[in-house]
Amino acid sequence: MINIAEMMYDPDFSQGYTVHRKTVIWTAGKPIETTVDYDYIGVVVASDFKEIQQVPEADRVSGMMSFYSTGQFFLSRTFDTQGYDSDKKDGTSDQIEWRGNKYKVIQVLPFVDYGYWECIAARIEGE
Amino acid sequence: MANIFLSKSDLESLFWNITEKCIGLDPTLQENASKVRLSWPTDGAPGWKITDDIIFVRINDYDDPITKQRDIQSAPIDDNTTILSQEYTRALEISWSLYGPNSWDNSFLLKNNLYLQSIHDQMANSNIYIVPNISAPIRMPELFSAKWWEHTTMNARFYEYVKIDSTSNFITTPVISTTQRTL
Repeated sequence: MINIAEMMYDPDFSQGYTVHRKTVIWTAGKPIETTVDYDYIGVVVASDFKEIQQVPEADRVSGMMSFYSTGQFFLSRTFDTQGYDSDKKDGTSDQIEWRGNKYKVIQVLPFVDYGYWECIAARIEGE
Repeated sequence: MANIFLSKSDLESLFWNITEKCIGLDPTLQENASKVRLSWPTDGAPGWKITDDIIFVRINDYDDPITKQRDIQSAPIDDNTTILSQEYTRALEISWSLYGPNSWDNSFLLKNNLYLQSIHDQMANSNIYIVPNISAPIRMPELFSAKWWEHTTMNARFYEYVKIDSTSNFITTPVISTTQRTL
């Protein structure tokens, strides 16, 4: 198998972004989040149009981006339900900060056998 | 002047606590903090396993003729001002969504233990009273990730005493004027 991890560090393609990793402690039925930030390097490309939804109250902006990295991306998890190392803690999906916007990871494609991870993340409005 | 009603946060805390007690959990233990969960967490929440007994609580108002009747009383506080108190009964519907291998049995416990005197007394301290006509739990397992997950839903209704105060001025000096209209 071809390992293409070096692509993630190629300055012609890669750039930096921040991954906010969320773990959760439950308090009276509510998830209280703790965040640890990680600096990732990888490829960032558009996954969908950045677009507006015209609802009666206002225009709401949405959009999705794809992020690639040799570092793992996490979805919402309950102690090891993803079948691989998930820090052994409950948590919600990673949030990725790129160019001043935050995106929540909604899909992870584990191409680990080829040296990289891909995720698709939805733009978080209102933060 | 004091308003008497429970906020969303107050209601969530109360019914979270009561639900834990009704199914035999100690709400003071950290290990039980996630066994009853409040629906619609702002940032989402981790899921659960098929083997976990987890109960979700949802709270809503519902329309009941009793909420239309309002008792309005006036209590003067000085020569110019009075406190107007509106008192009425608010109607609440609590929905439980129970998952896990014991979800059906937990709904049985919940339905019966809501009538316990200790639960009644705890609710009464917050001016909440059960409407003693709880609908039957509905067992409806869900297909998720190629397995049938045990799932039961159940609703119950409650009344809450509400008092809302406001101030109002008396008419101390009526001013009467006449205007002649020309046709």
